[in-house]
Amino acid sequence: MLRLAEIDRLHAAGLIAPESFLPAAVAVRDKDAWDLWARRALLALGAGQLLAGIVFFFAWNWAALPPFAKFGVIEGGMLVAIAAALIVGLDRPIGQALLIAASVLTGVLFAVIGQVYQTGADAWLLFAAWAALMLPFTVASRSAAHWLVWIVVLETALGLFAEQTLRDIPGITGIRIQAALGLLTFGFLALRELTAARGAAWLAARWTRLVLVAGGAMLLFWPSAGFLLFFAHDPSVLLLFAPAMAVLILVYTRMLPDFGAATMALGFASLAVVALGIRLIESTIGFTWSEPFRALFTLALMIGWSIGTTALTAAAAKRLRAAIGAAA
Amino acid sequence: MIGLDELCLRFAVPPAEARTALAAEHHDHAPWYLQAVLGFGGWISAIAILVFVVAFLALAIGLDEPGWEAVVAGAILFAAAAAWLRRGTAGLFGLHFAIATAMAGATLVTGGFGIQTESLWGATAVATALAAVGILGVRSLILQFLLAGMAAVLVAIALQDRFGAGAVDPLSVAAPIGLFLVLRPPRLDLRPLAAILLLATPFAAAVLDFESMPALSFDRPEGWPARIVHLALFLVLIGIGTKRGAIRPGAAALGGALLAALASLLLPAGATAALLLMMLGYTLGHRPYAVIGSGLAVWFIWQFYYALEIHLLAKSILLAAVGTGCLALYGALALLDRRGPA
Repeated sequence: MLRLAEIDRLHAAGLIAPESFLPAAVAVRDKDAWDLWARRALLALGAGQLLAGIVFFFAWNWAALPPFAKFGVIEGGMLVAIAAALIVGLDRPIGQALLIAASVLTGVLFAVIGQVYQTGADAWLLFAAWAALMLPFTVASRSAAHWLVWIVVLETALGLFAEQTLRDIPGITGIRIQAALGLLTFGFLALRELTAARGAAWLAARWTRLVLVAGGAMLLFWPSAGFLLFFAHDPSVLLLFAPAMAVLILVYTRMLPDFGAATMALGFASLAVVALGIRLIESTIGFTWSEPFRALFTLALMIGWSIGTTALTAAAAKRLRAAIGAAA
Repeated sequence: MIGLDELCLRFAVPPAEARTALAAEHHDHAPWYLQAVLGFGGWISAIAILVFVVAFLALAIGLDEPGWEAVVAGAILFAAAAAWLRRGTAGLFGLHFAIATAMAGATLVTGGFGIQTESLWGATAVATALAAVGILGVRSLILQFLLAGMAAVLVAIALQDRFGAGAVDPLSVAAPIGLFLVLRPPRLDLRPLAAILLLATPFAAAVLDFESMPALSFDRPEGWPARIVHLALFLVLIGIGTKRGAIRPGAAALGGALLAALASLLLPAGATAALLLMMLGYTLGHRPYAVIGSGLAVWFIWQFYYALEIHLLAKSILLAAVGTGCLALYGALALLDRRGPA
């Protein structure tokens, strides 16, 4: 079956007239898939906006409400969401959306408890309790979106825990905590692949892979780039970043062909190589405005490195695509 | 969905030529996300070249700020790079070097002209002219995207400087042009330009400070023309989609139209532009527009919280109303499905 990209190519080759482009595009459109996407988009936007509206409403008159009224409103909302989810059915998207709403309200409840009682507890405790209590909802919903929300809450809890309680331990730095969270995200990615391979169709949507790849890569990339560009002084994250990107490219080229995921990893690796070049040039030749020739020479080298990296990225992408085509 | 043979039959396309066209490899045929990665790399390279030229002018010639010398240097760089790209013989390294050089040259010309004339509109006009030259003279989709993007950014900044909160209204004129280019593309491949025109309003609304988003307010005119434009385009897409079979006629189309009207009435112009992108993605089966539109829609809901011009109660009512509208349409479609096709 043809895709829109191929219609674009046929049109670019002058084989489809401008007035025929739209009918041709609609002819190759997967109507069922797009109708499903539209339904889910409507549900997600509708539920998100309605929930936000409700949250804003209570934020508006929050100060005037007595504490038990605040708890009552939130807990009442949770009960309504859970009851509605059970009535509608957990195998339907709207039921899953209602359970996500119940999970979000769980976090809101903890925030209000902390606000009302001013216990002085660490922030990580709130997120940890939230992650623990929303886990049953998450398991019950069998919704990929719900699991992503849970992962975000869990990683926030772990990150805050490490920052607030482990920073005094020698060797534990903010950068290493961030890298650990990146590795944890890749751990969830691996779990996702294994679970999807065993037949969990609800988890097999491609976007779940792409979001986890992007999240994990970003968490490892920033501290690595920080070191390469002299904003940070810890090289250890680089030793995790490079192999991680290599593994991602290998996996999504040979084992689970996915050009989008492989391209994402390649893109991050490419940016890191550009940063590496800048560091190497700065460390060996150096840059100073007081020496014009050296400054211009250094800049010219950086330009060449950056452009060369882009060209190599394009060539690598071409080879990846060919390899994925062969693997598929 | 149809295959190549049926497409050739329906649209009188010679099958052999179609197969040749689809088999041909060209760097512009890469998926959009790969183009984005390479485009980003091109931007970094362009900035590096720009710094080099400015440094050269400062260190070798002793210029303190970009003047007419920078404009001339930029014009030479742009012309040389464009000529090289036009020849079509550049290898992979040469291709990206030429694109980065052309962008650096265009930036120098635009920036130098703007600084010398102290005119933001002058710089905008130069950037637009360079974009036109690049688009018409050089067949590179990445360069087209970068040049059009630079011109669009300057237009948005110039409009905000002139109109303040109302800048989103003249900027929204870009949307119908972009939509036309997407739905009825000319022989010249203008997909990147069309994308920039469609993305101009929502990105400008998301990034630039339109004075705390006063377009949300109901007691001032700013933002209303933009919302009307987006609503009209939304209805056009529903009409086209219904006619072409992409959207079920009758209740579904009517529901979509009502929701569009509700959203246009209650949400800021940036949010309605995001919804328009989602609708375009759905009608055409264009995943990048659907993804970008969805992301922008989520962004604007989040940004709503920081719209200080209206208080939380008004914001809650607006969001709840649009959210309810979306859920009502969702429910109506589910009901229609259960009843089966008419």
